[in-house]
This record gives sequence, structure tokens and C-alpha cells, in this order.
Amino acid sequence: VGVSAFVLRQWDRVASWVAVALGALVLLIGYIGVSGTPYVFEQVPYVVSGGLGGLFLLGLGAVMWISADLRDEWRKLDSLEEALREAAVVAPEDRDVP
Amino acid sequence: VTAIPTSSPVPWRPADATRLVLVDIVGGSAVVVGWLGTAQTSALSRQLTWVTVAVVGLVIAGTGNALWLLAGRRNVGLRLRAALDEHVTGPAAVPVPGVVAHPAARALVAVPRGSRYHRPACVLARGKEHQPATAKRHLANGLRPCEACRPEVDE
Repeated sequence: VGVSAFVLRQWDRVASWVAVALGALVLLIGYIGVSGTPYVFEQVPYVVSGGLGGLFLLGLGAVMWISADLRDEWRKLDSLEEALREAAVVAPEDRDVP
Repeated sequence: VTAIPTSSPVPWRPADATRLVLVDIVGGSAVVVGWLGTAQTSALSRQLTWVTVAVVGLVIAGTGNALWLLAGRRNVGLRLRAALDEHVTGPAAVPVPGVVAHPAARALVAVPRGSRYHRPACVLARGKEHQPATAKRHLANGLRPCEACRPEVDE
């Protein structure tokens, strides 16, 4: 139950790690493919699929992770706005102090 | 004056998410098409054309992802600035008459009837009467650290 709840709550971070792991795996496969043949025309498809494909997945993972951080920051602002409203209620006259 | 409603659970519009998904699908598809193209020919000159297709796809996806992050960063910043602008006060906090902080106490303050404790320079405490005490004492009084100045974090 704990794991599934965590995955549901942090699905973007989990997906981020999956994308990064896939990206690393694709890069490794690309490296193995390129090093396994001396012919450039056979290496190029590995460079595109393994190299560029791996970079695409790594980038996607990074974006999802940073997006999750931004989402958390956005939710944190709810508490901050509540604190600001509370401060304004406690001492409303102080807001006019220059 | 944020463009996103504060009730939204994320700092993006639905249209931003749609655009991100489309851009990543287009970019990822271009990489796959480039890969298939290079695999179907042994002529380097033709392969370079497909490599270009894949690189363009990567650039499209990267640009779309960067714009997505910038939009989110901007919306968080706008909301934070709007909230602080509305409540910024001027002078530093003034002590409550008759209340003297113990010399060993860390300079953390609580506004009377508030539910949080702050650093003295916090915008939520400046210009208001306050009660200085240690973080431990504030916590024992049922207060929690302010989300704006984060007094629980050592500088």
C-alpha cells in the first residue's frame, strides 16, 4: 500500500527515474553497437538510436524531475499565502507602516 | 497577478501540458524516423540527411521542454511576488515592552496570536510586536516555522 501510494503521489518523479534509467540503457546499447562494428555506415544508426535517443530520454527525465520540484514549490505557496493572510489579520494596522 | 489560478494544483495551464506532450511526441518521432532512415541505407550521404532529421527532432523536444520549465518557473515567481508585494512592511520588528530575550536565545520571533515563528527580518514579522525565544521554545508553544523566512534552516 505504501509503495503504490508513493507512486500515485510522486508519479512524475517515478516516471523521471524510469526515463533516466531507460536513457542510460539506450546509451549503453548504442555504445555497444558502435564498438561492435568497424564500418561507419553501420555505426551511424546506433549513434542516432543510442546517442540521440538516449539524450532524448535523459532530457525527458530531467524535465519531469524539475517539473515535480516546481509543482511542490507551487503547493508550498498555498501555505505561504495562508501565513501572509494570517499576518495581515493579526496586525492589519502595521501594513501601512512605510 | 499570476496568469495561473491559485486553485490550480500545478503552475501550468492545460494548454501548456498539451503543447509539451505534442512537442515531445514530434521530437521523439523525429529521432525514431531518423534512426529508421539511417538503418535503411548504407550511403553515408543519405544517412546524414536522416541524422539531421533526428537532430532537429531533438532540438524541437529540447526547446519545448525548456519553454515548459520556464513557464512553470515564471508562474511560481509571479505568484510569490504578488503574495509578498501585497503584505510587505517597512521597519524591523520591535520587541514587546517588558519582554527581554535571554542572551542565549536565538533571535527568532513570534507575533502575538500568530501560529508561526520567524526570523526578525522576515517580512511577516517586521514592524510588528514580537516575542523573542528559541526555536525549541516556539515549537513547545505549538508554533510552526514560517514558510517565508524558514527559520528552521541554518544560514
